[in-house]
Amino acid sequence: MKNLLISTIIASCTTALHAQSLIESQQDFIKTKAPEKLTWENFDAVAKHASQDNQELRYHTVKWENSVINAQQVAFKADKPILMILFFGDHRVNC
Amino acid sequence: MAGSDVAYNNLSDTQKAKGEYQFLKSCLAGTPHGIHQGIYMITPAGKLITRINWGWPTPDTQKMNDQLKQAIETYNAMSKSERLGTSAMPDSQRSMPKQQFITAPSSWLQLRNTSRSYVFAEMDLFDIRHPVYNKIDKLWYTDSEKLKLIPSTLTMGAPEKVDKQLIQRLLSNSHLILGPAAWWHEHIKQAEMSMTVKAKKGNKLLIHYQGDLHQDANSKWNQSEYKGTLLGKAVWDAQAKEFDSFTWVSLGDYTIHNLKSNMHKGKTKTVRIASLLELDPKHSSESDLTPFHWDHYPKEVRSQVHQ
Repeated sequence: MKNLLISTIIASCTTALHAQSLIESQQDFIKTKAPEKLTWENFDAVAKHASQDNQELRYHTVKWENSVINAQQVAFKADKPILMILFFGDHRVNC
Repeated sequence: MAGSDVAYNNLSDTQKAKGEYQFLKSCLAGTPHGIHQGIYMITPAGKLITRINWGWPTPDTQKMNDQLKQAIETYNAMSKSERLGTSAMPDSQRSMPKQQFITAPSSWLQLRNTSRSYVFAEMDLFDIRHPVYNKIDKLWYTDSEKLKLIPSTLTMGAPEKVDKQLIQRLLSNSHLILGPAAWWHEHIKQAEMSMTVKAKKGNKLLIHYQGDLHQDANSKWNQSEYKGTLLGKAVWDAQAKEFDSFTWVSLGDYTIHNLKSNMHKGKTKTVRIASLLELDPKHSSESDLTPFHWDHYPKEVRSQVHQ
């Protein structure tokens, strides 16, 4: 669920600026076939597949408040609505 | 804001009595499941404007964007009192305990870890192994452990074995697969890694790493197997006693013997996974993230970190 939510919010932020769907922005990951084995020749390509692309990294440009009260205090001061993602876990692995 | 609905629902009655939990509970009172996973737009006054996560398992991003824009317009059209209420919540009304941040000493080798599977038969967005998803974690080595990643002899081309304990941390903490499986030391069948000085220039050493890794578990909590290889390269500054660069890449097959209907789809049990460990770029949103299995680090390591 957490991964879907993160992917979704990334897509939402992305789509607001670029006309791309979630799947379109991540076509490379869906199309890339696994190499048979890891070699120095494909080292960079495998590293790239394991990395996050620019769209995914956008999620990390946000300084996410980690509690409702922190968010409410900041939002009150700024007079802004709160975008609240609730998930099971945190920004790391799924449970 | 990003947080755990489960953590809020599991607060004690005393914590729930405070303003923060009551604010959240009241905000989401009109939703089907109350405090539950989802993406919401709320006002500082505690009013739910709308829920904006739609589409499962394929997010309906068009609808979400439309609702996001509409929510902002709705907010801006409200009166000030509707938007803000009377005041910001005081800290005395905090329900969720303030997070104790743990920061590794800056001299430690701090690595950021990401993993992603490759395409596989019957893959589906519901399946957590789908390649559009990735895993993030951290791996920390102390000052003394970091030095064990430098060959003791600086003879070019002479391979030297990497300390098995360092490799065990890599495997036991699931850094080469997608999720945090429960590994014990006896599950580690092969943990071989060598390091070789490939070049020297002034104070800098180019070191290559090569590893063969295999872990296989059949316990109550983990019936899975990983078999893969690792290549890595790093530049060590012998004067500063720091790595200028550090990159470990692995490629391996991960087999889950018993697929779970709430996480997987289809019959494919084995997927090929790429993982990357590199010097942590320290994204601002990750400043409070420790290794997922920090609590499993040796006591003598954890005692070196203060909150």
